[in-house]
Amino acid sequence: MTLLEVRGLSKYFGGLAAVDQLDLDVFAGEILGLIGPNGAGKTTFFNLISGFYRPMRGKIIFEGEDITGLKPHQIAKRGIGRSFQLATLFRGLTVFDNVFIGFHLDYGGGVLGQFLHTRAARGEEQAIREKTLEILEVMGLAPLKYELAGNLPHGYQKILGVSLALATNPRLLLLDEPVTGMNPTEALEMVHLITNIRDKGITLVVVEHNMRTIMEISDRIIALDYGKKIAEGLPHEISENEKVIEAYLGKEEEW
Amino acid sequence: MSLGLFLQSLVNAVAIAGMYGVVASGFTLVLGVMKIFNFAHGQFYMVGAFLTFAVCELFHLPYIVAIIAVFIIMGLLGMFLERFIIRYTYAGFFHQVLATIATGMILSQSAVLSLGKTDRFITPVVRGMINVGGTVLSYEKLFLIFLSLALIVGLHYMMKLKVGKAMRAVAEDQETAELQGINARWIFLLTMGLGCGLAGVAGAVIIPVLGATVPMGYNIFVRVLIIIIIGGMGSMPGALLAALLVGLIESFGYQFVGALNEVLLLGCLIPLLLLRPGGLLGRPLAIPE
Amino acid sequence: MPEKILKAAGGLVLVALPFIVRNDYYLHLMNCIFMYSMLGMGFSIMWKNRLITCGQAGFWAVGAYTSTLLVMNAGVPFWLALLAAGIASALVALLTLSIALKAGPLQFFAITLVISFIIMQVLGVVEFFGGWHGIFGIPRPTIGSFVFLSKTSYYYLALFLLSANVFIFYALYRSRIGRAWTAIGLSASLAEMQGIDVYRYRLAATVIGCFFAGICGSFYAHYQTVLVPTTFSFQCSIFAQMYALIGGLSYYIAGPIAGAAVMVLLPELLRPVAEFQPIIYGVLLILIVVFLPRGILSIPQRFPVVRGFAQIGAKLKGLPISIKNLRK
Repeated sequence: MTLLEVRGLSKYFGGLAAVDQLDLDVFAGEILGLIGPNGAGKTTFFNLISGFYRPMRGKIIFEGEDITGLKPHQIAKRGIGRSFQLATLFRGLTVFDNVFIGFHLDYGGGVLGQFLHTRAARGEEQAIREKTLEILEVMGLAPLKYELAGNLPHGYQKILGVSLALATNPRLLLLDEPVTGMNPTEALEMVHLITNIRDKGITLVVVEHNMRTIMEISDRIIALDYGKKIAEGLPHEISENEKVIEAYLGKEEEW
Repeated sequence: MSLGLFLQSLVNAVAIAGMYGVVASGFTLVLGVMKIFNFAHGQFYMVGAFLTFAVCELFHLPYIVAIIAVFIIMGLLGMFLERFIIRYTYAGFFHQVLATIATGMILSQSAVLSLGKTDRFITPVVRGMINVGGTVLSYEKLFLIFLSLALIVGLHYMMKLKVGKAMRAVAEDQETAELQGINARWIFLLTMGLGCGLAGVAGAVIIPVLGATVPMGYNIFVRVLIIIIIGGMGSMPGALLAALLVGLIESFGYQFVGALNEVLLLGCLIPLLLLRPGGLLGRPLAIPE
Repeated sequence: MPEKILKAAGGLVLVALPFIVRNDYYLHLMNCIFMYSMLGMGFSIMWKNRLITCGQAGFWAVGAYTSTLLVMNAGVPFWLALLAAGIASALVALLTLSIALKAGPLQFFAITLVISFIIMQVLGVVEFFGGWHGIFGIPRPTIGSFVFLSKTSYYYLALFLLSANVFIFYALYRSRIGRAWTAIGLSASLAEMQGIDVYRYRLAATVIGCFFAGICGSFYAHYQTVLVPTTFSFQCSIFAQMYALIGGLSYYIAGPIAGAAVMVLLPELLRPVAEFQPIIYGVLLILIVVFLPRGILSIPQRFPVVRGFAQIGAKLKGLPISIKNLRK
C-alpha cells in the first residue's frame, strides 16, 4: 500500500529548480533509497516532506491525507519523522533528556493535570521515561545516557538524531545521510539499526552517498538529478542504469 | 503652511537629522563592526558636551580646540572601554549590554561630579540670523547643519580608506577578514574609538544650540535605537536615511499634530517592521546568544 | 532532607521578616525587590524560549493604569482590578505580540521595544490617562473592610503575589509545557520537528509573562498611589533583563529574584558614599558581569564548599530532570 504519494512537487530557489515536478511513491514497510549527485534536490525533498519548505507546486499525500503546506510540527504529529545530515540535537542536554524531551507528542493528559503535577501526570512522565530508556536500549545508547549530547563522538550524535526522530512515533522515517562521516564500525552499527527500525514496521526513506550502504539496505532505489527523477528500480538495476552513471560521472567531468 | 514656516521646519528637520545622523552613525559603526549595542553611547555624547563646556568656559580655549580635544578624549575613552571592559564580555549579549550601561552610569556621574547637575551653555560661536525671503533662520542652526554634514561626509570618506575598508570587512565577516590578515582586535579598538569620538563631537556640536543637560545622553540614545530600527541595524546609509526621516517627522509632525508626533512616528514603525524586518536598508542582525 | 529544611527556613524568614526587621524603609526595599522580581521573571519566561523582550515596562504600565482606572473611575474592588490588570496586559500582549512572533525573534525584539515606547507616549499624551503629570491619589487596596495601609501589609501582599508567580511558573516549568519551552530555547527548529508548535508555545510564554507584569503593575499603582508615565521607560524594560542577567540567565525563577535583590540592595549599601554611588555601583556591576557571567547564583558551583546549596538552586531553576547536567 502506498504510504506517501508525491505528485508534481516543485520548489524553486531564485530561478533554479531544486525539485522539479517530482512524482514519487513510497510503499509501506519498505526501505527506499534516494540517491543523486550533490545538488540533486534530495535534502530539499526531505525539507518539503517534513514541512520546512512550502512547495510551490504539487501535492504531498501521506496515508491518504493531503499534508501539502502543513507546518513541521503538524507533519511530525501525523507520523513523519526525520533525521538531519548534521546531527541536530538539543546540545545542552544529556542523551537521556534529548530523547525524553523529544517525546513531547506522547502525552495524552490535559494541561491542568500537567500543571498541577497530579499523580496521573507523574504516571505519564514515568511511562515516557521508560519509553525513552527503551529507545536508548534499542539504539545502543543506553550506556551513554547521562553524557552531554554535545560531547558525543560524531557517529553517536547521528544515532541520537535518529533516536530523536523515533521519539515522535513515526510511521515514515526520513534519514538524511545517516552514515556519512562515520567510520566503518559506526556505519555497520547504523545499518543494523536501520534494519531493526524497518522490522518494527516503520517505513524508511534513506538519502545516502555511500553507494555500498544504499545498495545493501534498500529494497528500492530512486535516483534524482537536477530535482527530477531519472531512474527508479531495484538496487542492481540502478547500479547498471546509464542515466545514473552519467549523472554521477558527468558531474565530475564538469571540472 | 506658509513658506516661512516650511523653511524653518525644514531647517529644524535637517538640523535634528544631522545631529541624529552623526550619533547614529557612530552607534551603527560599533554595532555593525563589533556586533555590540553600546548603551553608553549616549553618555559619550553627554560627556562630550560637558567637556566642551569645561574647555571653552573654564579653560577659555577656542571652540575648535574643544572639538578636537573632545574627539581625542572621547575616542581614547572608547578604546579604553573596549580594551578593558567590553573585551571581557563577549560572553553574551546581555553581559555586554549591562557592562555598557554600567559604563554609562560611571561616565554620566563623573560628569555630574565634576561639573554639577545644572544645564550648561557656552557662548555661541556664531551669532546672528539670516533673512531668507522673509523668514528668519539662525546662523547657529545652519552652522550646526554644516558641522554635522562635515562629520558625516568625513566619516564617509574615512570608510573608503584602508582602515575603513578593514572595518567594513570585519563587519561583513570577521573570520574571513582575519584570514585576509586584518587584525580584528585592532579594528575593534579603532572602531570603538571612532564611534565614541563621534558621539563626543556631536555633543560638542550641539552644546552651543541646545546646551548640555544631564538627561541628554539617555534621550538621544533612545532616539538612536528607534533610528537604527527604522534604518536597519548595522547599516550606515540606513541610519542616515532614518535619521533624516525622524528629523522630518519630528519637525513637521510637530507642526501638524503637536506632541503626538512621537506616537505618530512610533505607530508607523510597527507596520514597517513587519513588512521590512531588516529596517529600510539593513539586513537583519542576528541577536547573539 | 537538608534542601527542604532550608527552603522551609527561608520561607519562614520571609514570612516573619516584618517582625524581625521593624523598619519601614527596609520593608519598602523588599517590596521593590518583590516587584522587580516579577518583572524579571516575565523577561525570563520569554528568554527561556529565546525571545528577548524590551517591553516589560509597557506591560507593567498597562496593568498599573488598568487597575487604577477601574478602581478610581468605575469603583471596581481592588482584587478584581488586580486580576483585570493582569488580563489587560495579557490581552495587549496577545494582540500585539502574536503578530510580532509570527514575524520572527528579531522582530519580536524590535517590536517589544517600540510597543513599550508607544505605551509610554500614549499614556503621557492622552489626558484620560492623566497625561505626563500622571494620576495621584490612587486608592489603597482593600480586601473587604481591610485597607492596606502599612508597609507591612503591602509586604505581605507583594510576597503573596510573588509567591503565586513563583508557584505558577515552577509548576509550568516542570510540566510538559516547560519541557517544550526548554526544547524551543535550545533549538526551535528541532523542537518543531519533535511536534512542538513553537509559535503557540512561545505565544503562551509571552502572554503568561505579560499577565504577571500586569498584576505587578496593579500592585505598584496602589502601592505608590501615584502614577507617572515616565516610570515605565525603556530603561525600566532593560533593567528587567538585567535582574535576570545578574541572578543568572539560566535560573529562570531564582535568577530574577536574586538579581533584583542585588540591584536594589547594592545601591542602598552604597549610600554612605553618596555622590560616588553610581560610579562604584557601575564598577561593581561590571565586575559581576565579567567575573560571574553565569550570575550570582552560579557562585555555589564555583565553590565546592557550598555545593549542597546548589541543589536548591537547581530546583529553583525550574528545569526538567537531570538538572545537574544542565549547563548553559
